[in-house]
Amino acid sequence: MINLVDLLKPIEGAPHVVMVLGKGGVGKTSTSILISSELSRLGKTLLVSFDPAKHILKYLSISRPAEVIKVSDDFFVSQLDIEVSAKELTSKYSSLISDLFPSLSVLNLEDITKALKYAPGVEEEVFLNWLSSAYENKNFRFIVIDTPPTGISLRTLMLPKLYLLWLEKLINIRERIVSLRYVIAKTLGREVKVSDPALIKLYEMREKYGRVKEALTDPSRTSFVVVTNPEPLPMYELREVLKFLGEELSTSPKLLVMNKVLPEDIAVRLGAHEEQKAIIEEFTSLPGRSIMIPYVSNPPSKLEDILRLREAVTVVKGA
Amino acid sequence: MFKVLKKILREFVSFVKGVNQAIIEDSVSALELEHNELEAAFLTMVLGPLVGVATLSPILSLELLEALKNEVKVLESRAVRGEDVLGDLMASLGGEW
Ligand SMILES: Nc1ncnc2c1ncn2[C@@H]1O[C@H](COP(=O)(O)OP(=O)(O)O)[C@@H](O)[C@H]1O
Ligand SMILES: [Mg+2]
Repeated sequence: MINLVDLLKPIEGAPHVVMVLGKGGVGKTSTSILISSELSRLGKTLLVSFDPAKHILKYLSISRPAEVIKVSDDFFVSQLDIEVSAKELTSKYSSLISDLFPSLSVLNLEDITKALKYAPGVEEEVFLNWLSSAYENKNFRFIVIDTPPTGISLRTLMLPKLYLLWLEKLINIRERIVSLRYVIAKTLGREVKVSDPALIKLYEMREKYGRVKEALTDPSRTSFVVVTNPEPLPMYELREVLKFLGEELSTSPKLLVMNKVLPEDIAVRLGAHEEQKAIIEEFTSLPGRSIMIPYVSNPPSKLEDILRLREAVTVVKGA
Repeated sequence: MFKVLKKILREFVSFVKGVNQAIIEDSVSALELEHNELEAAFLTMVLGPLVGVATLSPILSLELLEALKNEVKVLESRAVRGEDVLGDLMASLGGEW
């Protein structure tokens, strides 16, 4: 049987983060479970699913989202909901807002927090926030992410760059403000307070998002895995993801997964043979490591079923 | 004669001191003007997302808010307590726009 872990190397970074990307329905959640169970033999592994369909709860017969649940010895799972996390994040700040703007509490504080929750980009920001803390998580050796829909995931991966641009601008202005304060106070012979909480905070934030940006493009800290099917739309999305990773992050996926490959006789019977053949040819020509998983007649619905898929995995291109 | 000279000299010294003071006050007020403008620009950028002006990401703005507590409190106390509190707040930032 093939060794999936070998196909992800290098995986030294602790924690090492594996991001499983791909169109909804291609088998992202199943692949994430396979990879997590494999990695958990090397060290404590957390699988976090942002899948809005929450399939993971079904596969692992879990009913409570958000909590970290133990599946087996070193294999832990958690289902997160981006909308719920966004709500939590904004309500965390709502007391600060009402403290700062006391007059708002009788007027429109509710509207502000609501507006924030639905503001464009908040899902991406929540995901990034979570991601930056994942890289600091010392409790796990591996963190596998069953990612939210591709659009959100790719925009999230873009954010650190954008954040750093904004922060640079704010830092420039703030440094000027602080130095002007210093000069004014000195000239007037007043006492000078040098440290500025806002500037310190800005430096901290630059550190934090700089670290995420770096970790994302370091193959020993992050593995991107992209899952697809022998169908036009999943392939289209695969190309989009590859293009994004190359152009925006100057990186490439560790592993490509072609899932749900129809056995030849069935493909012929369904009249899908030619299309599947052409797609697999294209898939095989892509650079990097890749594997294939056949379509199984009874779709995996339990952990055991998914782990059994592993026996059917074939390597297209190895390490 | 000596007395007169001393007096003139003293007056001259205090004149120079006065001019100096005036120059210092002038340059300080120029610096203060720049400082106030920059502070207004900075707070506008940070508070913008809270009033729907997309100057930067709302989460970055919230992350920074705590560290800006004092400045924002001063602003709030300057703002007119009307219907549109944040609107007034932004207006009270002032500055030359
Ligand atoms: N190799 C496979 N053969 C047959 N069905 C599969 C296979 N892999 C996944 N499925 C089924 O496809 C559906 C989507 O799988 P899932 O892993 O939840 O995908 P995603 O997370 O990308 O939406 C599920 O019903 C699952 O049982
Ligand atoms: Mg899924």
